[in-house]
Amino acid sequence: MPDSATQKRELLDQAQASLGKALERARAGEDRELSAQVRDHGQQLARLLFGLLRMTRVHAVDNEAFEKPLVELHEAIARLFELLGVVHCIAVEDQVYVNDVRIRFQDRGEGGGELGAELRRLGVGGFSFHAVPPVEQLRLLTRAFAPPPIGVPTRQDLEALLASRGAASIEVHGTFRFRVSGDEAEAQVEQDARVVARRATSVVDETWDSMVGERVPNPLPLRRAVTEILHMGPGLDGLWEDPRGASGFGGHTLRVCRYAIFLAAACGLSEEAIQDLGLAAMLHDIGYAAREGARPASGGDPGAAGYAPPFERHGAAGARLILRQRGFHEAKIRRALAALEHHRDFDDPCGRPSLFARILRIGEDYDNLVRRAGGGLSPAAALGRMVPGAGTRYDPTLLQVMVNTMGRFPPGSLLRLEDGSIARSISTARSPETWARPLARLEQDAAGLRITKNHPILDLAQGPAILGEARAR
Amino acid sequence: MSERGPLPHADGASPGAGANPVMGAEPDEHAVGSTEAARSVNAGLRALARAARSFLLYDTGNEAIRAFLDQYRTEMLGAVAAARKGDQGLSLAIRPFEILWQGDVVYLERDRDRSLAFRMFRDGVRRLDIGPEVSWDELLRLLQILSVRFTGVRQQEEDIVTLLWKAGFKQIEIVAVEGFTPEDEPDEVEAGAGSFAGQEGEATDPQAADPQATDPRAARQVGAAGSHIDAPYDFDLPIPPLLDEGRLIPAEVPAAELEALRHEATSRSLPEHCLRLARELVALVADPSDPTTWPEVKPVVEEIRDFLLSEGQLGGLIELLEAMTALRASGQRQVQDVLVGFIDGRALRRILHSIPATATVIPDELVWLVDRLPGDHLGSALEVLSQERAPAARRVARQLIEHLAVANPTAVMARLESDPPEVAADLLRALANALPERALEAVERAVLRGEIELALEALRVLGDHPLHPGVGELLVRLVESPLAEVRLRGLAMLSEWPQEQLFEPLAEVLVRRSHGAMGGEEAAAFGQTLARLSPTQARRQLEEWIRPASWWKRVFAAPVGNRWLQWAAVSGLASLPGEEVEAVIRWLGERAGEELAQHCSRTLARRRRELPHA
Repeated sequence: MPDSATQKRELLDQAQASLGKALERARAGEDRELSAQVRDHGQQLARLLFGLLRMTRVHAVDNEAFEKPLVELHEAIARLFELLGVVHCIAVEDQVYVNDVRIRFQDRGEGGGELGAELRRLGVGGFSFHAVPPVEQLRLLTRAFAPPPIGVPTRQDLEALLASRGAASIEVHGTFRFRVSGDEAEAQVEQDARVVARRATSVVDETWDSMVGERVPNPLPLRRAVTEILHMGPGLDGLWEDPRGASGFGGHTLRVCRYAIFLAAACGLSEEAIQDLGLAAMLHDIGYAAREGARPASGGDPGAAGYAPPFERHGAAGARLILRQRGFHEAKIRRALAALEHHRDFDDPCGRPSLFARILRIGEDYDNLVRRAGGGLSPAAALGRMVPGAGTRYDPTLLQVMVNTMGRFPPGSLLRLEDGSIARSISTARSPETWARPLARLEQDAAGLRITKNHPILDLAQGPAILGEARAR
Repeated sequence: MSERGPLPHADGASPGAGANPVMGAEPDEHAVGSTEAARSVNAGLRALARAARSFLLYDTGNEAIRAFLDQYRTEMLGAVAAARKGDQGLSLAIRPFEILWQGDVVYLERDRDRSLAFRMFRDGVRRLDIGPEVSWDELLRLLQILSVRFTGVRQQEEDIVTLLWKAGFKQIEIVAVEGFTPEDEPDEVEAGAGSFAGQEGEATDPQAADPQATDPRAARQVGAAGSHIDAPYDFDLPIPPLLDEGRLIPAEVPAAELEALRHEATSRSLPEHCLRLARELVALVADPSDPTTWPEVKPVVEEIRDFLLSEGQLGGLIELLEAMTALRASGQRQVQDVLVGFIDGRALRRILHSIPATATVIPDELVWLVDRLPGDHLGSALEVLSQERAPAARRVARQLIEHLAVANPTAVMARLESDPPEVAADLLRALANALPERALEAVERAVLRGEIELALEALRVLGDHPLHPGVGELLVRLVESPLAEVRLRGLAMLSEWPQEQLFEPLAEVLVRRSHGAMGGEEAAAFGQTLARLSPTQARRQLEEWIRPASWWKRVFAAPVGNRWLQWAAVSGLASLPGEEVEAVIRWLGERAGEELAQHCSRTLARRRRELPHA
């Protein structure tokens, strides 16, 4: 508490300066043009969609009055697709969102809450357009909302109709409600690490598509995915398993993200830094989405798709893609630098890489050594191969923290146990005492019988003893 | 846009509780609350709303903002204390237009653009809990986040929920909408939550005719048919050469090493990161084997440049500039327009905004920049000086003008006649320092305007040029100023450099002034100065004012003559040697009115103390 007028004045001066700086930074990070375009086109999309659905109640579906708005809707989606890639139009309660941007409506009746009401007639909460649908597909979609017998009664019928008519790139969502932190539904969802992991890889895949499509990166969904992982705890056992159906690239990206934030948390980095690092990890290899030598089609020239950059240039390519996002932001600078430097050695003659790059280097190499398309080593062997690189390839402090926290048998290690059974490690180091004795999931019992479901979980601190690593069949 | 309108209380004191510290700026919100504690909470929230909105009206540096901050601090800490007194936390439920505490409405504003409740609700905040031990730092960060939202900045990087999450509050908790989740539907086996991509995979809906219908990955593939490009199968390969396998041994990591890592992750390392990134990118552009082009890199280089400017990182700016210059030398001529932006008017303003309040001297790096980069730096500096209000920034701007005025004094001289007086005063000082030989010309122009700020500055400038022959005449002119302070200082300066030829004009000034409002102090100063300028002339003239030489005047004018002339004469004569001086003063004392007689006797007494030999 300030005890004098001078102290108080200084305190207020500091507060004013810090507020001024915060606002200046926020303004520097703004891309007004992009926001305005998304909002404008998004508003148009929502209004047209609402208008068309409403019209199905008053006009016959073959009425010519549908033609013009259908064409306009097609054009609005095309414009948004050009900007954003996949277009998500979601109605939640009385709000409408287009790709996470809340659409403002000036007046009631323009389509805000009303669009949600129209969609709910079929139990629909919104659509994702994974390609620009031709007018015919949009007509099909609109007709489905007409009263029976022309329309369909449920969302499932709508999905089936779209799929059967070649319009599967229009994804139909069920109804949504706002999820409030700490509410019961969220708690249930968060218990399911697989859901979080799947959602994260899905966002990675969408980002990949966006980058290939030469669009501006949208960090917000990635940041939310990272936040979800952090909420759950990056060391949570379930998170070490690969999400089902993940692409090789998506799976690798997510694993590197988990290793990075796990390591950062173990170092005691601030939540803010860990979140930024997680986002950097989600984009660390995005440079492979760049197309070197690509040439757009023009006139009679069909153009050329170009090629992914080679290994040695993917870092720089990644930085270029990340920097397509306009506006100054600390996190953007850090992740661009991390993408650029994440394969550099700790003792690089050009200088020590940034902290984020050094953390990513450890996560990246570890995963590349373990994954089947890479080194195919066991987790323990991979980490063992990295240890001699401390101080040359790797930051020695960070690598030691990695060893301390991953444990003698990091998650995924297949272990031969004293009783003849085989188990797979599912936990990181839980304490210094149990550093070499993780939790494990029984894969094969003492009699040699392979267990396919309801795997018992063993606390190897309680026994049986670990004889060593088992070879994967 | 800067709001130069009403300022807060000049003494910086907090206005009364709940009052708008900038009266008349905008209407206040409703005062609500059914108990004393609730009213206290209401005052805190209204202060928070006003402070958050204030950036819409005022520059961040405006003094009005400080008054809002002061009030916010006082009222919000008061609200927390009031809640604590009743053993209640400050747990606020956010509704679209109102905020509730303990079931009581403690904030009400139905205007969407002004409402704190509406902004928070719309951004997904549903409850705000402020702990009893909340610190001013946390309250300030909360205000920061809300202010960004109120000013309508649309950030690509973060939304309010991630901002609040990142803030890492200890005493503030927020329940917020964190996305949206599918509503329970019995026919859905598994529902994803949160972002749009949430319902992936495992399409087990028996009614779905095609797995693609519920599988977004499949939809993605279909949607991108013909154009979809997957990541290369050999990404990140080949793996680096394998090292011999080492032993995994846990070991304690020294706390200092961890602390160093944590330090590296803070914003303090940001300027260094920015520079490194810029250097790396510039090197890529210069590398013919890399496809990176200047147009791809230019926007971020400009962003970094502006960041360094606003942080006052002039050393970093120079490093960046050197990298750019090297790039230009390597054949990238397009970098020129970025170079110009290093020190144009906008850049200069940013640099000056970032100058610490304690700075007294222009940074060498700034001089380095203006000396090496082309542009109308003087014009920029003059503009900044005319608009900037912070003392440190003005000080440095003035020194920059000093530096630049040597090459172009005419431009500064012209502004001396047209700029507002407080700006012209700075220009006067800059000119006098930069070009001492033209200082008197500048003072003359300034004095002609007859404004107080300029007169005081002119006196200061003249004080630094004591030996110049023109100084005395200018001082005499200043002694006619309507401001007593200027007249007295001018007289004091004149008496320091006695020049006989100034006696006559100064005496004329005194005669003119003696017919108007004048005080004893000033009259005495006139007399003493006249005596210093020319003792001989003074003796004759001052005696004449007391006791006119002609019989006629003595009989009819004295001692009723001009009172202030006589007052001045008494003081002046008293500083001269000789017994006859005392006789004249005594003569006047015996005939003058009470006040003048007292002045005579006091002056004589002082003279005897100070000049015993006289």
